[in-house]
Amino acid sequence: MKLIRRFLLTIAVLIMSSLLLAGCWDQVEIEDRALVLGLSIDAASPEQAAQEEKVTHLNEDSLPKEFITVTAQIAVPGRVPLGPGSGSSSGGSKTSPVWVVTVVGHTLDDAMNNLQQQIADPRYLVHLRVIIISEEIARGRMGELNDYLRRNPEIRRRTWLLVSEGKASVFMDVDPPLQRVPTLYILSMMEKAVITGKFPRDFLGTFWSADSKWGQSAYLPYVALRNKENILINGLAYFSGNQMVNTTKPLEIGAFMAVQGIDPGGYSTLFTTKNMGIVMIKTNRRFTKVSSTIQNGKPCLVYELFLEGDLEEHFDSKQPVNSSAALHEIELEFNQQAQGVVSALIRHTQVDHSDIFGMGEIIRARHPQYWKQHIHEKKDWEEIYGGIQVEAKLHMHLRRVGLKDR
Amino acid sequence: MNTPRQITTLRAAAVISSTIIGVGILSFPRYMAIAGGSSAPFVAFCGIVISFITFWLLASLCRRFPREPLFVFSRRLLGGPLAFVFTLLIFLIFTLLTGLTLRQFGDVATTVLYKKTPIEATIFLMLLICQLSARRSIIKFSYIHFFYLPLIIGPTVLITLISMRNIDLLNLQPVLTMPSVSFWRGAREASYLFQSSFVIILLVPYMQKPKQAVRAGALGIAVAGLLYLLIVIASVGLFGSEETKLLIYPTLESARSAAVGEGFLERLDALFIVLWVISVYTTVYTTYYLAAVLLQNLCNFQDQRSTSTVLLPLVFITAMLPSNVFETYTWSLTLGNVSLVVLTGYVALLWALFLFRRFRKKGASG
Repeated sequence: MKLIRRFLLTIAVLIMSSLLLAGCWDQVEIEDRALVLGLSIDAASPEQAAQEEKVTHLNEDSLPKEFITVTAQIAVPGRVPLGPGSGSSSGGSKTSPVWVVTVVGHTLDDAMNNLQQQIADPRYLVHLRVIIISEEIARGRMGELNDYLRRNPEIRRRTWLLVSEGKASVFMDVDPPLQRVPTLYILSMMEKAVITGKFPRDFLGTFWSADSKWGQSAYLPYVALRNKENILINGLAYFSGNQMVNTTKPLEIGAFMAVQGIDPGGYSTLFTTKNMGIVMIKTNRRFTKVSSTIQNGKPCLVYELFLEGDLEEHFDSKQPVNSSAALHEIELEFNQQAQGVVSALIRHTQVDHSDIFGMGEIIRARHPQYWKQHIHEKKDWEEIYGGIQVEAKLHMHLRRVGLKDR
Repeated sequence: MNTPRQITTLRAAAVISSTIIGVGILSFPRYMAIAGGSSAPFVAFCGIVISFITFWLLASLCRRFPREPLFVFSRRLLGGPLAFVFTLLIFLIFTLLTGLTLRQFGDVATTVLYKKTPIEATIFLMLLICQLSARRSIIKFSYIHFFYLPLIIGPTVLITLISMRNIDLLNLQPVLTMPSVSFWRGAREASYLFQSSFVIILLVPYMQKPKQAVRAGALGIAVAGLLYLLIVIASVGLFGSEETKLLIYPTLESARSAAVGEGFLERLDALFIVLWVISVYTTVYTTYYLAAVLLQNLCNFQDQRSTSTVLLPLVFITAMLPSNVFETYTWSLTLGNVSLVVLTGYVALLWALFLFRRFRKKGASG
């Protein structure tokens, strides 16, 4: 009797443990996943639109007439090189580590479903690091993109979203020699731009936060392709009310970062002085103080920019830069000229009603009374921003001049 | 009653802390941001104060009866039938609370972790673990909480602090706000998360120093409250209040965007989810245990072991009832409202009767 009971108990325990130790229900081997590394999104031409598949809908009439093409870079299992130095194993024939697939759809999700219908392995966006959208998309169809990307739990807020000059899909085909996987090259380019002070840390999540805030407008990196292979950070693409309105020049990224006080400084400025010839100054550190007041019922902001820099180039002049006074003269000249750049940038964004500096957030935080009275939605602030008074004062401090004495 | 008094004050505090920290941490910042905008931490703070006051009412009453559980002395104060009705009500509240908490857990797990695993399997396994551990005595119950608490708090605080490196202080200004209707609603909703501190009624009869029940609760609520406050500050500071309102699980998003170095240590959300599962377990364990003990008292059983088995299908059905995510949340909020009224009303009634009796006794002797 006792033996039978013990036997039955053992059986019961074994059955229970087979339930609990069965492993993961959702298990998918890494070879069976189509890992999407990069995406590019373009507006589709009518010929491309005709190729659209009927995967998520049968009736076209009630859907938006515009189409998008999505180009995805999918990692080919086993061919993505892990770590450096394993280059010779594949021999002379250059096999691409990624597979580039282009699909058409009404929306991003529609296109992703069309993509899935064409490839065998289930697609995964967990390793998606870079999304490039064309200017045309950024100017018109951000709403649906943001919705899908926010909703999808596979998308991370540390993904980079870039706006491209011209077609975005060409970025998926570049084959830069520095990295074997093209999107990883774009990724490391943006990461290094952040480290060297060439670009603010503007991930997808940062973009979304700014887009949601009532007192700030969003901006994205604006990139362009040069010589088929080189990717140029061409400025900021700034938004007003969920749509891209304009772009800046590359130097104005530096001006923007100076106004925001983002360290480290990375931009150099080349300019002609009155007496000292032509000089180039590299900014190393940036620090900014902002004060805000409400004057005559209008917000008024004063930015004080403290910059630290080095003299990098000096030519075309008989005057040597060998004294504190000479440096000071250059500093003053720089302050005057750079102030023009900063003020022009602020004025441009004011004309476009795009507060990329987040001045509205400063007003919201410091003058809640005013804010509650005048601002009831994001549009209100963007309207007011066009007419507020902003002053920028620069204080450049030159520390070193390099190895040359005169 | 001859009970071994083994639970120290610190361990009682640990039980309360780990009970409070639970499924709510993921969506908590959203409620606070909706209620208070940039002053969300202030709303959360007021909620913590409210919940401490309600807890103080309960614990200081239990302190007066250090040898008996609430059910026993309430029978003396209220009389049998009325006490039975209240015990039944509280039993229903905690059964529903357990079910709805499990459902929220299942929803999160299915959305972000296991897309193909049926939600029934996720919920049932969690429920089974709770049922098996609810058969243990209250002493072991307190040990289990004491063991898990550091595992929950330590890494959670670490991840939150890492994600806090990138916060923008402007997002948290202005810190204070004029209390409005939505402000108080938010504070009330925050206090719902602390309702399971009701578990103190189980602990008091076994505490080494029952007089310190209030102190234990204060410590427990303070630790859990600080963690909640930190989470709200991190989410609102990182995303801004407007973006926080858009996100269904803001805390998870802030863990997802946390990184050490430039991508050196990323994807901390995986670790965070693991911890969160443990914290859900400790929460559900407590509410399940409470429900089992309440049922045992209703049926006059020796211990809660048989009732904990009976409870299993009941809770599972409750967890399966809501038809979608939004229904789960509205039901949870309604349940929070109801239990706020019932629990506070019950304790207030007991207090009134207790004071009345003491007054009469004094009058009779004098």
